[in-house]
Amino acid sequence: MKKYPNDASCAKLILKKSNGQLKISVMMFAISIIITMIIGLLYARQYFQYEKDFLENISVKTICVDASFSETSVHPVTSSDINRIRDDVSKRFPGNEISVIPVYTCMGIFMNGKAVNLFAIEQEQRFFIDLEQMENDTVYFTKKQPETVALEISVTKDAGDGFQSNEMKRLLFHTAPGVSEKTPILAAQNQYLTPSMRELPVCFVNMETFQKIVSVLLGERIHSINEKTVNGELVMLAGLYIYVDDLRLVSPVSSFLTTQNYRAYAPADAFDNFGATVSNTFLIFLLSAVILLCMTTVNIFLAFRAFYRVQQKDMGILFYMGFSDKRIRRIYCKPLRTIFLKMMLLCSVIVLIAGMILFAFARWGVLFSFILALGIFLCAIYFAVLKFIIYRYVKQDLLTLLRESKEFE
Amino acid sequence: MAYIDIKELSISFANRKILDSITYRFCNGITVLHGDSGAGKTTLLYVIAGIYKDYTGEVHLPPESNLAYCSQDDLLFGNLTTQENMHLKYTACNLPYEEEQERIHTALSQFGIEAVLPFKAKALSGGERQRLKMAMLALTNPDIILLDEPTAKLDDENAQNMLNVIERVWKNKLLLIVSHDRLSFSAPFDELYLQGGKLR
Repeated sequence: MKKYPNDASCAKLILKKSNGQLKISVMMFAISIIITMIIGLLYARQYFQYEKDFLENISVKTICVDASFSETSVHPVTSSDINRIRDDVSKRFPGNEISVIPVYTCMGIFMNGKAVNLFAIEQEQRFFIDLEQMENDTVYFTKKQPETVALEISVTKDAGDGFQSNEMKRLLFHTAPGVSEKTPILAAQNQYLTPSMRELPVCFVNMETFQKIVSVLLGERIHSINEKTVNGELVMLAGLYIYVDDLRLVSPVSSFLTTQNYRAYAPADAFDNFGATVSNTFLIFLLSAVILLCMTTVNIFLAFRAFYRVQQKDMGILFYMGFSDKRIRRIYCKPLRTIFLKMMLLCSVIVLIAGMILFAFARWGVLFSFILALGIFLCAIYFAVLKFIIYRYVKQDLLTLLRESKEFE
Repeated sequence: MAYIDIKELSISFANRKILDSITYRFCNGITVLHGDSGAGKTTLLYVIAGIYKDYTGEVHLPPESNLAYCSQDDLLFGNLTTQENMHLKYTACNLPYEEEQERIHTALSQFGIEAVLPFKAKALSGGERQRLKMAMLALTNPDIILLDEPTAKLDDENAQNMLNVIERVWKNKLLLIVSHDRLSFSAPFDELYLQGGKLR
């Protein structure tokens, strides 16, 4: 059983008595917090957009190399360029994570009677098309397909100075979805393909599967893929991509490749020092949010201090009536706790709704982190008001409380 | 029987002696304490009530005695009703919850202000506020009552009414009243003067 069961009703009376003054201060505080939190959410959303568009966007960190040139001519890149570029780049930019990614393709592949754009990529470079796995005998698409698919492969034979095909061979493969539609390979291909070719299905296989397909396609005529890409006939290098993990290296690597007589282009080159600009903007955003939060905190702390300073007389009256300092502390703590809990609830709901709208019902972790931060912040303010204001005033004796409140009046 | 036993009580403020080695025993009945402004009358009440502790000497009350002190200041919550002010006082004294309404009603009736129960304290007249303060003291049924200027701010008629009520309600209790005014009671009472830190 509670020792002083009616103290709660006294707390209610005190809160009722001082409701007007406190309401305005608390409402202003709540509005400041909500504004600060929403600004924070907006910053976070912008940051995630920036992260999505730039930091995590493979396309932005990719340099496409499509040709090498001399003073008089331009040649498509070939397999011999792969190792040359690998060596040159690793020597020029040691210690940096730079991947040289060759992508192969071949003609004469059909599915359900229609031609398909088939690309092959090394198993360990599957991140480039956003795949976590690349199994043998599996064809990967952007969207879900029937569980198995039969690829119809033209079996070619030498015919004088060219080749001919009178035979189609069907090979059955598993399918899997998951290829990113935003992979630089598709973006680059779309630049060169005719509109009708762009309509054709696009699929990816690993190099082992590709070897299997090519060995059917070329039959006796192939010893290795690399040999044939030199000729650039049925099997060819569809593109050579340089992926740099650090966005800031895109421009230097691209320039370096140009000095090595390669035609290289990178989307990130279009944004002049974009990363640095964004970093500075976020630093300014962060600083302004911190300043706003500090000002709000100081403001509310002063508002509470002014409020409880006026309340000294009331505390004195409670002492005079016979309440002990512990009971007065409890009487003042309870309404304060109620106020903070209501404020926490209100701010959380508004932040949650604003966050759900801003993040389009995603990023729940971030949203709950904001709410957690809000809770910690409000708890800190609550305990600071309790310890540095209420406890300090209640600690004074009756005469001091009444005298100081008179001075204040 | 209630008493207040004071021995060698001295208080100084900034090298000025307010109470100078006072020794006195207050017993049941009414004692009126007079003195000039600043003579230390209120300070003496503070000491007896346990509000002021920075003194030398001794103050003894009977064990288990129930002391009530009424300040000369308007120590009420003006924005709360008479009922709410009484509830706060009742709660402060931790009295039985079941008897609250009855005891509040009795106390207010004793001082003739039961009609002001729903009104805010700031809406009451000076006399009604004074009676409300007394009624709050009556809630605890004290046997030692210290009243600081109970008739201040009241006209002569109201002041005498107030004294009559005080005498009737707290008959046979120890009443120590500090006042500038000449007070009169139907029963015999003691009058003391505090002058130069001494009781005469």
